[in-house]
Amino acid sequence: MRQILHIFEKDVRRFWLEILISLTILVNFTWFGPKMWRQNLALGASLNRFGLYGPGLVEGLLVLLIPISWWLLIARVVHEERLAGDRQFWITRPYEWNKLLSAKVLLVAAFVYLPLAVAQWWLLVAAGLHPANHIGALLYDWMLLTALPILPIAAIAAVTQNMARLVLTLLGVLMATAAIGAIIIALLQNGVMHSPIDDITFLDVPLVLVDCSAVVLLAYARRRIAMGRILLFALPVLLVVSQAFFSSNVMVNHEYPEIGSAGMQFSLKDNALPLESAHVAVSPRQLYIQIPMIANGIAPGDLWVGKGVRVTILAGRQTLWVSPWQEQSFYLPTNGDATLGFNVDRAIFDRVQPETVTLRLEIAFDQAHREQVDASRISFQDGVIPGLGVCSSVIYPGPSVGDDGKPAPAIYGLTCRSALRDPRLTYVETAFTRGPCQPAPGNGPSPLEVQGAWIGNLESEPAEIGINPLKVVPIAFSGGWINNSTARFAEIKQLCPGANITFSRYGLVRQLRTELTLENFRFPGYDKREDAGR
Amino acid sequence: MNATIHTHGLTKHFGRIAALNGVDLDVEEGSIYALVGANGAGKTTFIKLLMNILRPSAGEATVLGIPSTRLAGKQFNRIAHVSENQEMPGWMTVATWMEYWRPFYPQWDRELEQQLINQFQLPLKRRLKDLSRGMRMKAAFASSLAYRPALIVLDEPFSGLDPLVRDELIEGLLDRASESTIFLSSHDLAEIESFASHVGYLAEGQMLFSEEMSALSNRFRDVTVTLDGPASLPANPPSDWLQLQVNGPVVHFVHSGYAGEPSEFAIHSAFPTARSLSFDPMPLRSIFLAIAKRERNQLPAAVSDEQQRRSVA
Repeated sequence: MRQILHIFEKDVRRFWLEILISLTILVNFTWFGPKMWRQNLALGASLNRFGLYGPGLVEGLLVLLIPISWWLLIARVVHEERLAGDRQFWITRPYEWNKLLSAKVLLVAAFVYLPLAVAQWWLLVAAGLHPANHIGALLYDWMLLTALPILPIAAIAAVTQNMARLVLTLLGVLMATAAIGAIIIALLQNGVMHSPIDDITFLDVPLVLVDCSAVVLLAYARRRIAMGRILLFALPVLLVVSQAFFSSNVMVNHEYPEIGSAGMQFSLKDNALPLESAHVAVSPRQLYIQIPMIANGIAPGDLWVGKGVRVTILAGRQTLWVSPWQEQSFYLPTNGDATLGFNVDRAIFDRVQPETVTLRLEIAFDQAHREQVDASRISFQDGVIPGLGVCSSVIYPGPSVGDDGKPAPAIYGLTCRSALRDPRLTYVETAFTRGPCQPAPGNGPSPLEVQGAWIGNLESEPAEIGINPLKVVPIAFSGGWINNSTARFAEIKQLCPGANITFSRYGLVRQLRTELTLENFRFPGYDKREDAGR
Repeated sequence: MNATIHTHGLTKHFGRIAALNGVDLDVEEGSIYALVGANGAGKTTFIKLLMNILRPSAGEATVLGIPSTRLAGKQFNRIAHVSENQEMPGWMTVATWMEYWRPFYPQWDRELEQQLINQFQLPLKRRLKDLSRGMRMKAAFASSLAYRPALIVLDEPFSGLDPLVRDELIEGLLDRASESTIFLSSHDLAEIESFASHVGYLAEGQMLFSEEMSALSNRFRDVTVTLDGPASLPANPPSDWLQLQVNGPVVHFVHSGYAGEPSEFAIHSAFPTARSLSFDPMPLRSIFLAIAKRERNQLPAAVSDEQQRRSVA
């Protein structure tokens, strides 16, 4: 322990400037964060967790600078007793590798993780959330941050001699990833389709953690730098190959193993064959086909979410074409219509369109059930919604004038803040008031317009990777105002204080696949002239 | 015999190039062993293998009884290693540098540290990066001697230093000689001649010989034979007669196996008309030049059995 602390102390003395810069950026970010989401609340704009798309330019810049400052610190600290090379001052001194490594880990823990934990804790408290309720999610977030920016840079630093070589190696790894990825995508997926499951964290995070840990351990314990470099450059190959093989068919089969419908019937709407239209050219090589569907047999309180579709075109018994799994996103809270859309290779389409074929559709569904309904009332104050987070009203100067002669504040929407990830899938329903909240004497009550919105998702991960622990989720009511300028000229529509609002939270019941075979199916024709203009 | 360093068949290949080829060596405890050889002979590679900086391609080495490939951590408590091209943390001052190493060595001697600082006149407040090359070496020496290591390994320690600094370092080193085994490499014969007790010669990755310095000096003689008439060389001169030259009635050569009267008798037998003989001791530089020239004319593997027998091992 004495040696660990001794090396740690030396490194702190050596890198006080890098530490100070890193902490200063983090402190600024922590200070700016609440300011930014409060400002965004007022503007009604969205802000993602990395702050890149909202007006939080400063915050976004700081969020970029934080990992860069970490990278700089970690690389410098590792290079201080660099492992690659044979001229270092320390390699024939009584350094014990495990203590040297522990000293480096201690420094990263003290000046990366601890400040991050404090910053995240403070931000959650400032947002009205209780950090103690999210310890597991915070730990998960730190694990993801370890896998993405922290451990890989430590591994690269462990097998390089200086900062210039580190940057070159980093670029090399990134370019190798891009090149291999492009080749594999071109070979395996024909450059087109999307997976219904884009989150394969379960695979790539452990891969990165195991590979980079092995690189670091080999370098520290045995100074096997060449082996470490091989492992490092093998990582992008492993990641891309795993993506290629696990992001499509295998993943869907793994995640949606059960074949059935649990009583829900999903069929072609009105047996509407032949289709009259519904195609869009998406590229010279592809057409987008839409098929009207209808769902029946959905139990009360259930929600079915279409996640993916795989299409097989058969002529008789001969399989002409099988698509990869393609992403879907339609919600079926009750029996009703839905539209199934998928891409088809234009060459296949042109070949089969004049004829009738058999179309086999495999559809991946998430079946969810309403678990909890929380009722609240619209207020100017923040409200805590269990399982969701803290919701705030979006307030602008309204059309009526207050006692002070200024426009009275009015509520035009809601924005919620949840901890570390999008909230669980929730349906939010409330009634907008068309007209003033308090009509003039003699006038009847303003008419109400019930509106709803879906927020969140059914993902099970406790956290999404991010430095900012807050996820700001604007609730996009279909008819609600979020634009101040519109409010001045359009008909008044607002949320009045005291109006009821319900939050229906859904939980995943099962993931399953249904199969649907459409015999004598004929693809609709398309206007080639229109297509040519695209 | 108690060998502080022992190697057997130590070999190191870099790709197809053999930097070291089956080196056998024993270094006695308490000796000052100088490994000499031209640049690129394999001296630094040999030391890196001893210090476990590189791993051998074949063969083995033990240092203080520990296999070199296991040399790590606390085992370096008893070993000092200083190299001419060793990187040092330039941001540290000399005082910080000395202070930093203290806790690593349980046997660190504060009095000796102060003595070395004074002896080497080290500027404590100066950063290492701001020191001259000589001063940096002094700082490296001081930090390596202050814990009284059992073995001091130096790779070209005096290379490029001015004579004054070199003498100061040698003096500091010799002060520790009674309690340490010293192993150093050098391509400068003059600098090691004055203090080395043993010497080994490495050429193209092979150890040509390894023996006590006094034995080496005793067995090499610069021989001049003056004859009554024009000289002619014997048909098969002994293999330990090197650089045979004839100039009129004078024959000149280096005797690499001089043993007193038996050698004189052998010369008289070879040159019956010899009028006079002279046997002059040779400086180390001349000895090595003679060996080097002989080796250049032979295959690298042709290390004589005699030399092998005479090696310190």
